[in-house]
Amino acid sequence: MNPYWGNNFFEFLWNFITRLPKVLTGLEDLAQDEMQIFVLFAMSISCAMLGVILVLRKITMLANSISHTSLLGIVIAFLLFSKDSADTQMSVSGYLLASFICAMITTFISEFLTKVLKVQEDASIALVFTFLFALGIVLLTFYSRNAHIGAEVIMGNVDVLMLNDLKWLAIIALINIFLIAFCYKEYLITSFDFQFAKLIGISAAFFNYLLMLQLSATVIGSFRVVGVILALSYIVGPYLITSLFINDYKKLLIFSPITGCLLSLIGVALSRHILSTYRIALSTGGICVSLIALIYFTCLLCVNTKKKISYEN
Amino acid sequence: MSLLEFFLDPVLRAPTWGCMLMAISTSLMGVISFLKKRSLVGETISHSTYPGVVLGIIFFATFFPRFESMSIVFVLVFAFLSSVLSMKILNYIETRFHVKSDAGLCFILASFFGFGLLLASHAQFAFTNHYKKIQMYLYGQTATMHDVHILIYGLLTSLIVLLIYIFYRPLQLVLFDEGHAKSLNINVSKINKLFNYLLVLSLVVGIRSVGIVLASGMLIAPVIAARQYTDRLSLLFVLSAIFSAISAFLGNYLSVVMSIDSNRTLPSGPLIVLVSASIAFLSLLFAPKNGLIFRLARISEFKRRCLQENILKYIWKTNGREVGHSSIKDFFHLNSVSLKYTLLQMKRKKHIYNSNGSYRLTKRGEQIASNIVRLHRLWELYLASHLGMSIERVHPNAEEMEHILTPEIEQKLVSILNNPKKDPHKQPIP
Repeated sequence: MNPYWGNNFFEFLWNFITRLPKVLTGLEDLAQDEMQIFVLFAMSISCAMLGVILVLRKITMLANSISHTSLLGIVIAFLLFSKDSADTQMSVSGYLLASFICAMITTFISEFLTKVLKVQEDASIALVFTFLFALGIVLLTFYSRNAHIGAEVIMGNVDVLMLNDLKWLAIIALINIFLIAFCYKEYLITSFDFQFAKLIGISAAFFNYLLMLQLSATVIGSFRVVGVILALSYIVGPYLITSLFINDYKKLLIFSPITGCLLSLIGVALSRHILSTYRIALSTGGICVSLIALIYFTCLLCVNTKKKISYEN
Repeated sequence: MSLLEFFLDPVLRAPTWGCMLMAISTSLMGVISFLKKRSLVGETISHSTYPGVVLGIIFFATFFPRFESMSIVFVLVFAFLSSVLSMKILNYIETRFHVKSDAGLCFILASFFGFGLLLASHAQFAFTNHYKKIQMYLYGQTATMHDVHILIYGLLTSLIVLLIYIFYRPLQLVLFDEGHAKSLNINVSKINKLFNYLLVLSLVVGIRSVGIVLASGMLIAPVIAARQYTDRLSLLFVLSAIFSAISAFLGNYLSVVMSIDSNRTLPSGPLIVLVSASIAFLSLLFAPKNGLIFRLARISEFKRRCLQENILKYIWKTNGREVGHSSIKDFFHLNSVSLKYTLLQMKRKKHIYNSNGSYRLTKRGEQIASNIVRLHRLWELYLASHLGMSIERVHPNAEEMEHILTPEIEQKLVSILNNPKKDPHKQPIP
């Protein structure tokens, strides 16, 4: 029995806070809603941190590109590793392979197109990811017996989660935190000043590939669980909201994930509220994305009026 | 099924024509966004049609559930409006708040699409009968098209073609030289606006057959292919329309045939995109003049000519001493096989001949070699006397230029340098 059944927004939050210590110490079992919250926490930490670096490097659309090509990576890994198609949980090796394949293929082909075939950069990104995504879908429909390609492929399903998913996303989040904290200086320098990085012996190409690997691991981790659109929104959204108030790179890396976590908590609470009060079951992922957009535009308007006032004074 | 049936058969013709019309309209607008270097805008526009599609279906299902065939109109109108809204917001946050273009594109894409999914999750329970219709727009489905659709798509496509035809001149000016266009009193911002709306319109037309997720692929792939064959704008439009029509036909054809063979419905969108992307890749590799293969061939041809000329020069400079196979090999650091091949070719051209194991120049070979040396020394002199380079540094540059200088340039050099006799190293110019 779900302890949050019938809760409205504030009851939900209160309930969550009171239950939190008990859940963390293992006194109570993890409820479905709490699972959602923790999964979204893990994902928003990974995505928001990567998002700061991506926006700084002006390659956010590459996240969009990888989010599409991850399908191909998953399909290939699926074909190679799973013997019966009913098995939806991917093995660890399959998972690693998928993210590796997807990052390498996307980055490599895009670079090949721009550098060797002299296609302009934006066009080569657009060509590569649509091609690979199309290939992924065709392979999927051909080889899986029960191909259900609907919204689930892009949206995932936050409403049906398993403990395994949480474990995976938590591991990815930890790795991302560790890598970014550890390579903070390298990422900073390679983003801001290529020449200087080269001069002091930091390989920009290596960190570019590392970033792509982190990104694709995160996107693929989110893929089955929450869907790529939510991941995409968490990559840019928290950064945009936080950057309205903070300009410092280091602080952004800390506060964007916090913003992301807060937003996911509110999102899940809102989803429960709508279900209990209006009896409408909406997709939690959709609510989170819309919430991020809503909060961002509200913040924009606030900042806007503030600026106007200070200007007039 | 013969190919002709795909154009005439009452069941098959609607998908075929619908796909081709839609592909033509998106690829024409793709040319413009390609040249503006904003290829990824299409991705955002096509994704932000989704809430419009869902709203359109909901609107139709609530108010006019009886006019089944009219649902397309609502979908088109609402999708158009929601994309236009997304573009307005994007423009607003980019200009007003200086959000970086890529972050803005990505954010608007995710927000609109996410909102669409929110609406769709509502529609799944509230309008279960129509939910399938909504999902169909994600990856495109052509099998359920009717003649009505051809009519609507045909009208919209001809509108786009007509407007491009009418505004061809100002468009060309705006695309390649905005400053010049402004000086000619062309309203640049109006032209840009018009074509932004047309871009949205073409993608709205496209989502039915290629799908929301992949529509931007159809925007860009045909024009990448077309760009390999021509430098002219008008031809670019025509070629990318042709490529897109071919890929739409083939994609749709494959979708129908493979669906029948494998007994499952293959969505048409991915197949159309696969075909058009393959055309683009093939063109990038094999197009005459610009394709990779031909470029590589030209480069290796040039390298071979340089090597042959250098060998001629080497033999010429030894002045009749013995030049064996091994001495050439040591001088140029070549492997035996490629050297043998090169020498064989030179023999065949009658530039050199073999006497007792050493190579000698024929009359023709001597002429070429002395001409190369002449160009080399003329260029050295020119660098030293007219460009003021120090004498020690002129040689490496002349080593390269000697293969490139044409007879006309040689004439000019001779007249500038007053028909000199010695180069800066005091060597005679032949």
